Amino acid sequence: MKLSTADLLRAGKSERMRESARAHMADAVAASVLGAAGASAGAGAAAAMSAKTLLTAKAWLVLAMGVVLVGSFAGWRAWTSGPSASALAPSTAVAPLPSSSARSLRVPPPGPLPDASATAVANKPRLDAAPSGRAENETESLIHARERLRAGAPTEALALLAVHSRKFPHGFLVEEARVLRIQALASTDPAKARREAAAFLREFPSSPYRANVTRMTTP
Amino acid sequence: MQERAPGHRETAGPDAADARAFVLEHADFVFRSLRRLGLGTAAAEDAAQQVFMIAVTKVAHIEPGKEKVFLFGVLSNVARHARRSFARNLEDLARREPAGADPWENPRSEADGPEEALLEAEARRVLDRILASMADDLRDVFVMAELEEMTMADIAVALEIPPGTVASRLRRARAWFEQAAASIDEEGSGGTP
Repeated sequence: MKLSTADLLRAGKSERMRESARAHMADAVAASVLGAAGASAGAGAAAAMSAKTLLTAKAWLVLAMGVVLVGSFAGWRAWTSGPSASALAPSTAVAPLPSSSARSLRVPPPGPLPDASATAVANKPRLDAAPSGRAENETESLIHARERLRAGAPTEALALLAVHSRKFPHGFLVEEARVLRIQALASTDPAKARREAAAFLREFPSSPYRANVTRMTTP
Repeated sequence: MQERAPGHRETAGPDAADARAFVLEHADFVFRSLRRLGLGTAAAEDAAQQVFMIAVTKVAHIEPGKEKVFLFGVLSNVARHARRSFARNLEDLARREPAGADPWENPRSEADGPEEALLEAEARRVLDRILASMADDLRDVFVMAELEEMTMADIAVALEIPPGTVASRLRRARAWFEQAAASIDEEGSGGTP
């Protein structure tokens, strides 16, 4: 296949964001503005954007991004890329938990997410709740459940997820745990899966798993 | 010193409807620029939201017509931090995984359409491969100049570098790009890197 420079550039220019992702982002950002309106009232002096204010904005940004990105992206993307790509948790290192440790299949309803209403950023994994040692355990715990599910044992996966959610009720992989649980339920209790999927979509309107959750629970 | 947009309320801060419109207008630009700067689809969607969360707090102070200049300044920083935060090849791996095998694993939805879509996707993959091989400094300038068709002066403001530096980086970036595109052509673009 012969691709000219013009072909390459055209392909780069034409890429668009997914429609649903764009809409969710717009909603989330608008919501954050509503939330911040009171707090920032009067703070904005009417100055045109100059190189100087750009600089201030960027300095502020660097601080903010350090806090927001460093932990959440690392953990979250490492996880979503799957254990084969994850430096945190090689899949060969996990062994299934003995089933006796999972006494109950009943999962307590997930507690309210911290700060869920404040901004959409609050939907992102929480960093403060997870020191690094604990984060590894959280990841591995979820990988156990996921491997059982992939091995065709959704009931066992649900049991592991029940243990997981008791152990890490405010973990930084809350979103992933919920999606995994919905996927397991989809094969054992479709009606329940649909209910939990609806709740998930309400609570995480900007989740990258939205499309998958919808698909999982659509017959 | 500057005229306010009609309906702007001095005490209410930025307006949610305005913010929404601002996001919708520039979403594609921010998203595709983040993609070109090396983020995978899901990471770029996430990072785009971060960019806008920051940008809307400043939207009243952005000079009309210079929105992209401002946004690129923000997004190039966001992309840099994101790239540092997780290994880049991790993203590359995720991108190459076959979609649809495990719906939970790969948060991507749209199926590829007819042949043009496939060709375009292939071209984009090659483009991103070349961009990934560039130094960060060159890549920023190249994306702004060649893909977003921004002026040298605007690029200089967005990146806070002298215009002369923009020009020399762009020259180097173009040379690199042409060379890489030619060598990819020789080895055949369909193979894995």
